[in-house]
Amino acid sequence: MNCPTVARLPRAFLLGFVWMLAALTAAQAVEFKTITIKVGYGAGGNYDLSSRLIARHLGRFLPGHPDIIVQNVPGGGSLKLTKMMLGSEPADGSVIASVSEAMPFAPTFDPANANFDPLTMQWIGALSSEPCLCVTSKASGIDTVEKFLTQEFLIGASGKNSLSYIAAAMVKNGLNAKFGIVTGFEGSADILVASQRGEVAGLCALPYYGIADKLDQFNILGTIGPGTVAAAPTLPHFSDQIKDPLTRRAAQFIEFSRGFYLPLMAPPGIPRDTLDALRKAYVEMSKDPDFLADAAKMGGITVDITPGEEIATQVAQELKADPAVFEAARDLLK
Amino acid sequence: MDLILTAIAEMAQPFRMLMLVIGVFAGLVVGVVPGIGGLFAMALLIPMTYNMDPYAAFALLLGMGSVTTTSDTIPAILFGVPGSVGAAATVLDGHAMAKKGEAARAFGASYSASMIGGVFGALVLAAAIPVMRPLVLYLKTPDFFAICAFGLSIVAILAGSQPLKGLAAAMLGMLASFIGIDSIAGIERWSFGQIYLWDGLPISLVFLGLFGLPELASLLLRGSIQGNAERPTYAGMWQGIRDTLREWPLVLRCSAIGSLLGAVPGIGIAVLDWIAYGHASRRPGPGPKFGQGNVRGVIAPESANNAKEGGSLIPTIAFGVPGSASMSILLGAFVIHGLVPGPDMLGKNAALTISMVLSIAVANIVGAVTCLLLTRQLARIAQVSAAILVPLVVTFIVVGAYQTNMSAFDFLLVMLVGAVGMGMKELNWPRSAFSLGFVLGPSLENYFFLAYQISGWSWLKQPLVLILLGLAIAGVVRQTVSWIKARGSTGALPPVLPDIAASSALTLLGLAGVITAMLDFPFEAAIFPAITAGLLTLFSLLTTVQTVLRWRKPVSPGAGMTPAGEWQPSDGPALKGNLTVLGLCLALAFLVLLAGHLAATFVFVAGGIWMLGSRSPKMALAVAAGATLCIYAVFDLLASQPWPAPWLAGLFKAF
Repeated sequence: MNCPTVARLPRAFLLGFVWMLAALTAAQAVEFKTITIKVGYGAGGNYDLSSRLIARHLGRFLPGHPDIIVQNVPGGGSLKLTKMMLGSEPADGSVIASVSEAMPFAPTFDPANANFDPLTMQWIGALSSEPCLCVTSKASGIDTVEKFLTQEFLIGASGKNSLSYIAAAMVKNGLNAKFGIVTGFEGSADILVASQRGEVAGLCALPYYGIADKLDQFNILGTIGPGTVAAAPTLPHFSDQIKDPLTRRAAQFIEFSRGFYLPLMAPPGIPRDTLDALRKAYVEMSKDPDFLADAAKMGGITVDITPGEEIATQVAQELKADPAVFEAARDLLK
Repeated sequence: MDLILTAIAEMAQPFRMLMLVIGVFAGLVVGVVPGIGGLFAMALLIPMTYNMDPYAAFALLLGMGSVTTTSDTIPAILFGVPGSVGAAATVLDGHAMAKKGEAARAFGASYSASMIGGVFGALVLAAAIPVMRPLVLYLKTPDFFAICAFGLSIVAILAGSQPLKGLAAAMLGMLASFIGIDSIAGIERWSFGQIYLWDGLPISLVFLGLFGLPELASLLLRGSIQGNAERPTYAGMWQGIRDTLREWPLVLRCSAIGSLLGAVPGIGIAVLDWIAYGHASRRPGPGPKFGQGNVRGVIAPESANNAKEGGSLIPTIAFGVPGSASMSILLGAFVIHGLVPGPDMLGKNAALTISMVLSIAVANIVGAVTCLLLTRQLARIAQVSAAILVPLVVTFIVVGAYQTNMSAFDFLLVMLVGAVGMGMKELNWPRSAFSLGFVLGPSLENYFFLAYQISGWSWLKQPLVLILLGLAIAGVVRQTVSWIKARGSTGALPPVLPDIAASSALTLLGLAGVITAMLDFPFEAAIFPAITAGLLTLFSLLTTVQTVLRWRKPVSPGAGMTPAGEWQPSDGPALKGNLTVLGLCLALAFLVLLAGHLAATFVFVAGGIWMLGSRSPKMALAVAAGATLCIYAVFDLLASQPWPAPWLAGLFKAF
């Protein structure tokens, strides 16, 4: 036997061992292959468009530079997808979801249908945090907050689970306004046209960019949700005008979710490092000039992200509110 | 004029024309494959337009959207399987023509009607540009309700030779449309705790099952699409084109129906093609009866559904209100390209608006000419053995159905609706009436409640509402009079006992619907379903009584008595054929869940062809390999969607 060969054997074993160790370590590091963003609404709306925007950019900031594809799973204002995410989707980072920001509070408002633990939702981040607006057509003559709260007219809304109904009901019941709410419109564009036809006076829950080009035809009366509108910071905030402290707190609870609009979530049980990688990539993406340039094309939506950790903390904090607040919130939405 | 020249110059740039042509070819593929709707394809294409200029982007998107309704007639005519929901009405006469060896004529008529309809729709859009805003503002919510009610009155025309069954079928369709979370009260209606049903029964699945599967049993029994009919000739295509040109008043009327109703939100393509079909069937002209292969039954829906694209762009451009589901996705493209629907689209962006008109017109011409060039090859399929065709068509139906939600419920639903469709086909319960009830139910309910909430009952006095409701009532009365006159001369009728069983089952279903709606739903969510279920009970009960009376006083069928209208029972052992088709679907569904869609396709097609009687294993394997490649190209490359992991993959993972 060749002695030098024998002498080299332990070294070869050592090298092999080191290589295996390195390979094992690499296998344990987070590496994404293909990611699916499931959207809880049909194609074409803000949730769908923002998800497709994110799908185009997020992969660049994730280890493995995965392809990201979008799939629409509409149903129950994204309650269907939320339940799927909490029940049956793989918790390995291959599936993330765009659901309504109101979902963590759905078990409070509708415990019969939304029977899940909202604290198990794993948040990646949210794209925007601007409050929404109540608007009326100029032709309606409802051009001040006082008229809005004291005169009899009609406000348009989608279904009773929609933000347009929730926001209008909160203002109506919280401030004893006299207006009626017409439900059943397809979406805000339909309600705006119905306002121009004179069938209803206006609507609530419209983002500023949805009305910015129509200021010659519509009055903006006030805001719903935390914070201010960058383009109109002096607009009155409806919940501030509610006198009863419990009712005001309930209104704040209802509008709280508007602070993290267009969020992305992951299933419970997702490994910590996978979630961290997604959150880190989301924050990095939000600062990327190419992403911001594409986002700017989305009709003027203001990118002002809320990181996932912050959403989780805020939701947990908010859900610790007094049960009397939850009861009052449910009353406000009747 | 300057604007038109500017738009033509902008569109003439090579890259934009290339995008238009790519869009057209993508649209033709999407239309021909059941299960991939234009909606889904448009959502996929939008991200590809991010870096394009708006002219190129809309050329691509509208090119795709304009022609899905041209090529969706290919499976409708050949196999009776609508390529999209807009081709369901074409199935009735188009497929009947193919069975008689007139596939080439049906193709010629449908493509030429599609082209004229599409160009007409583009012209309507162009003509509407100056007046589209006041036009959209003129129509109010009660008018939309009245339009839907008028559309539903077409059921009276579609009701066929046994009108009570037609009316009951329409009510059954409406009742099925109420399943899911209602949009007024936000409560679950008949979803049995299944989140799958929250958004209602998926329309594409319902149409695939209702029209696609029942025709396959007949195909199996005949041996090939056209059975022993004459060999199709290329000349048939020219005859079809001449048919369309001869019927130009019908083409223009149906194009007008398509483009005008296309502009009404809530009146989708699935509604207006039935309305056009019903309109044409009032004057069947020379040739076979409607439903038996009358070329006017192909021309009418085809000209209407292609004209829709132009019409549905009107409210989208004028106000950002989508005139159809695909327009709501197109609206996303407006946003991405910094365009604001409204006065700007008629002012500073008017050239772009006109380029959209041009895109629709050119796309329709390119799409129709492409399809015409393929007619000879397609018509030959009518002679291919059913042993090869049936496994292939079942594969596209089942895999296409699975695309809807990627859930095992997709399989279950398409087979369940397929079984219902088979029963309806054999026993003369018109599927067309069911379809119209199904697609109009939600719009009728929603517009009614909106109108009521906005103005109580005073909307009933509005002039357009009065005119439209008056026309609807007049149409129903006229049809009823003709039914009364035609009593006793209904021609051949289906077997009595299965008919009694079916109508009794529907009576009980209707009764259960009334009771559960009244007990379980709040008033606003209960009223429409309860009335619909009540009418279903009434019409089904009357049908039962009528059939029992017929049973007690049997009338021997006279010589020459043939099935009338859309009733085309299978020749031969229908039950065996239908059970075979359902068995094939079940086997493929199981294979897809077990081994994934590609392996399942290969095994199923090869095994299916062998089982149904092919003597050449090599040929079976070659067809299976081709089908698998085709499924991969369409469902993995073109429409890239995440497929659920098959059971076998899970099993290997576990070890």
